Amino acid sequence: MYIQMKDMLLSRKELNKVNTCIQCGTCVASCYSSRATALNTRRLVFDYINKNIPMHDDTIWYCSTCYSCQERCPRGIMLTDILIRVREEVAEEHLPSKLKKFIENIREYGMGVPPRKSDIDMRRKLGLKNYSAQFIEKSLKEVREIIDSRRDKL
Amino acid sequence: MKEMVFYPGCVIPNRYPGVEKTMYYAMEKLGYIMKPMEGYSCCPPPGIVRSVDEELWFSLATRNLSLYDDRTIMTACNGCFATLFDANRLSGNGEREIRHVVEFLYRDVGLEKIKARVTKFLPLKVAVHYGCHLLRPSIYREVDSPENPVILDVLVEAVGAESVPYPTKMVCCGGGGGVRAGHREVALEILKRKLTPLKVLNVDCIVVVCPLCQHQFDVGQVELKNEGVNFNIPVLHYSQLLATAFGLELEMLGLEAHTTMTENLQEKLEKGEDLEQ
Repeated sequence: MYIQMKDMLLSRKELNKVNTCIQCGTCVASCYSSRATALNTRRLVFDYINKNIPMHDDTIWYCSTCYSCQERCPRGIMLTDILIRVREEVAEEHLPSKLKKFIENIREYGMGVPPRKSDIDMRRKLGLKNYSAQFIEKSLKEVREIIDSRRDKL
Repeated sequence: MKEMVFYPGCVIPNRYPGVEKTMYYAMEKLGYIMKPMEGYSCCPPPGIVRSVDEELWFSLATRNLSLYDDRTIMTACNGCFATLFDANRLSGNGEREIRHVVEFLYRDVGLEKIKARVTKFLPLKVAVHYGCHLLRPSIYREVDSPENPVILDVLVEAVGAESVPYPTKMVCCGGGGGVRAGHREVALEILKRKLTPLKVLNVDCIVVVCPLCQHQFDVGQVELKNEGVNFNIPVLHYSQLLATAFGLELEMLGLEAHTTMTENLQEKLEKGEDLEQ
């Protein structure tokens, strides 16, 4: 199931398209993060296909995954999905600590963004029930089992 | 009345509960009973969880999808929509459909039916923000043009507001992909560039369809203010606008949760443009 899912998200064929890059720069010109940071997708691709340098640069964590580069790439390269795949490869060592906390929150509360007391109070005022996994023991157990089964990756 | 399941995600119930309230209210006015998805977990977001472990992302998403048998799962967050939509597509369940409220309102409900339910038109000048994952990657989403979308513009006009054009309309809010969570300074720099052209346009508010964008705009403006950059533009989710136009009292919009708010906006929402006059 895993290999199949991974393949469907970004197949080998799609991945290999990166070698057809013509270095036009549409990606970096479309990139909002690049205007504020050193992220330069065109250069990452250049170094990868010409010098075999992995795209493991720390700047990939500045990508807000807006998909503008992928949408506009004239070669149809799935650039954003490739950056996410590269992040996955280096996550073990380079994942920003605050993102680690997000996953710990899912294990603890079933929610990446758990409620504060003020949120619970406002929910009560608005007449909203609390029905997420955080409040249902059986559901929270299921979520924790899924996360724990991937512990070696986290 | 038609039934469907509502998947609220993390940020709506735990940061902007008013969005959840207004979703249930507005959809019921239009003839849809939304059942809360009991036992759901974080979607989880592709930018953070898929960046760490794609199988974990897929497993948590498909668990959420498997909780109810209904044909339609409704979302009101671009991130939740993207994750559940993609996981549903990959798991090959052709019977189930993952919907985002804004495209559902436009395509399935229709502008005429929405206008017919309005009891208070809202004469606001607004800047609409679509957010990224509602529209892109467009080969899968097929919601609207990824470069020149119109559905949210016409939906705000349906409740009496004016959508003003602005040069950074299609710029990302800067909050997604784990950027706000992991690199706050980068998220704020993108936000500052996004909001700068709005300064001279005197809009009453920004209208979003994603609570992550909403949080980034709303709380991000307070963070920018602490750095000496002041915009003071309140941010509403479209469901809050719609429910107000359908007659929900202001106290039920959950506006206390908004960190950037103006009296001007609250007065205009309260007063509206009375149909009797």
